[in-house]
Amino acid sequence: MTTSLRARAGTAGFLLPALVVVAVFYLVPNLLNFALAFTDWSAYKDTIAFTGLANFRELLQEGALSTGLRVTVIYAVVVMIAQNLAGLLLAFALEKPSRVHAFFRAMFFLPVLISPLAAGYVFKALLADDGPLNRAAGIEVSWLGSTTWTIVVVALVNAWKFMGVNMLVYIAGLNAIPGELLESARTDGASRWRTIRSIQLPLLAPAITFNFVTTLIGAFNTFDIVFAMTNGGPGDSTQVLNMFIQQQYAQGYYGYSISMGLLLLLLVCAVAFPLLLTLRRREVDA
Amino acid sequence: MRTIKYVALSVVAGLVIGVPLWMVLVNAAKPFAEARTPGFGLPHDWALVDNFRTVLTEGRAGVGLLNSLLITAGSVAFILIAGSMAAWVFGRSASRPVRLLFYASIVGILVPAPVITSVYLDAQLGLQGTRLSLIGLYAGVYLSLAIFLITGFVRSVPRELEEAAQLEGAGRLRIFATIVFPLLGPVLFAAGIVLWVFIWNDFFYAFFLLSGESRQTLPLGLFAVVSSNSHSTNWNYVFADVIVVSLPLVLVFVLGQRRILAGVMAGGIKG
Repeated sequence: MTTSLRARAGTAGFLLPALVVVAVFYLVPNLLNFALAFTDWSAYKDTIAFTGLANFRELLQEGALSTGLRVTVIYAVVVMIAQNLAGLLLAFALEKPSRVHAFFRAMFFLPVLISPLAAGYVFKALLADDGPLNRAAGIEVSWLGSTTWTIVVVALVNAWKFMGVNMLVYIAGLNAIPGELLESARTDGASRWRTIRSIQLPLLAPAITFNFVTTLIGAFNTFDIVFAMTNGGPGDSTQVLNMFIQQQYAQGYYGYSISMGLLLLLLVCAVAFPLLLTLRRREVDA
Repeated sequence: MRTIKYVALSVVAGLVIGVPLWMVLVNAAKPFAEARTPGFGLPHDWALVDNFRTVLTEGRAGVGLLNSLLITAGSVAFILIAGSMAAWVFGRSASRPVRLLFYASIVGILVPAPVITSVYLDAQLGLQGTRLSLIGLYAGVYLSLAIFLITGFVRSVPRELEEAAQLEGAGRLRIFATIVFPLLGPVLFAAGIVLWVFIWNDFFYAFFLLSGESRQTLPLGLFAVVSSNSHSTNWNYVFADVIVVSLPLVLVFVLGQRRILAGVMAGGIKG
């Protein structure tokens, strides 16, 4: 009896440091979202009062919600496609281990190490109207001044910055495919394309799941790159949800800002969990 | 065929990686007037040393470096140690409550920390603006990933060694410190790298949680350099600072490239 009690106390002791920190600094702020989003907490009042759905009504009426959602979803979809496509192409090109491949892997992984804020500033300079790219190519493309296309440009910079991670995960997935499978496909006379489509892509399912889910969640929560490149502009055409949250917070409308934060939280949950489950189920079937 | 592939890869890498890199390097070496509209040409007058000196003194990059080191090392060390301790229990116990706690502690992989309510919480705790509040937030979010990766690894480690030590009367803490923890080397290395890169480069959370110049991290310093001139951006200083912010990680990467890529890949498969 005493030994089992002591064992249990020992177990609790090992769990405690991690669980306390997760509870205090992660779970509590997430739960506070559900309370403070319904208040008028701001820099202009000494007290915090419950205001029901007022913040959400304002989000709807001001159009902030529809703009934020539209921009964020476009951004996330472009990032998810571009980043995974780039990662997959690079993985197929650099799949086999060799010195040359190791060099190129390292090159394409380099942007992962750069702070996203720094990457944003670099491309802001590169793509400016009178910037080096336009001058060197002799073109006049307003990369960062279009209310339609700039969101796509910024999303592509996001894909540039993180494609190295997707590449590595796909390479790991490709290397985990048993050599005999590819060998027997070759003896059966299967073309390269056929091998990719019928053997490699289906067996990459776990890597695809991982990459799609992480890329999508990362893109929903984007801030640094957009903040550096466009600060939400031109107009509000690159106003992703976190940009809105930051701007309202900076103006002192804390409760209002948190109500958008709560919607972002719900959006991530609504997309991430079903996607994870669907992709996992397909993995098992395959 | 192979030659064509290598030429194609070189062209792509040159355009996609080489061009931005070149722009940063040459413009970080130009004096202010020349870098006003950044270009691809080499500098007429070289001001690389001057620019670095300005960034280090006026841009407070030295303070930024210290704070980034302190905050990143503190967070990663805590996450790996506390994460391993918890992961050992999670990996060895099949009981229902423990499994529920496991799921509760890995939610952070999918759902990020909300930033404004963290500021509110830190004010209540008397931590507002401090480095400790930021370390707490990083630990709170990223313990999820560490626990997930390490637990998977613990499950693949045989129990025999631990049981033998237990029979010889070793306590749990001793078994953990002398037997389990050293065995976790590969996964701690992989998780440590990923966490280090996340935390070192983070601007978003630091921007909200830290206050005061003396506490600013390298990315906050970069933002300060960009915002310092309200009329036009001092691109020469900005690019010099981009180098300062990026160089530590890039240097470590170049030195340990092979192990780092292999480590990150191993982590990816588990996920």
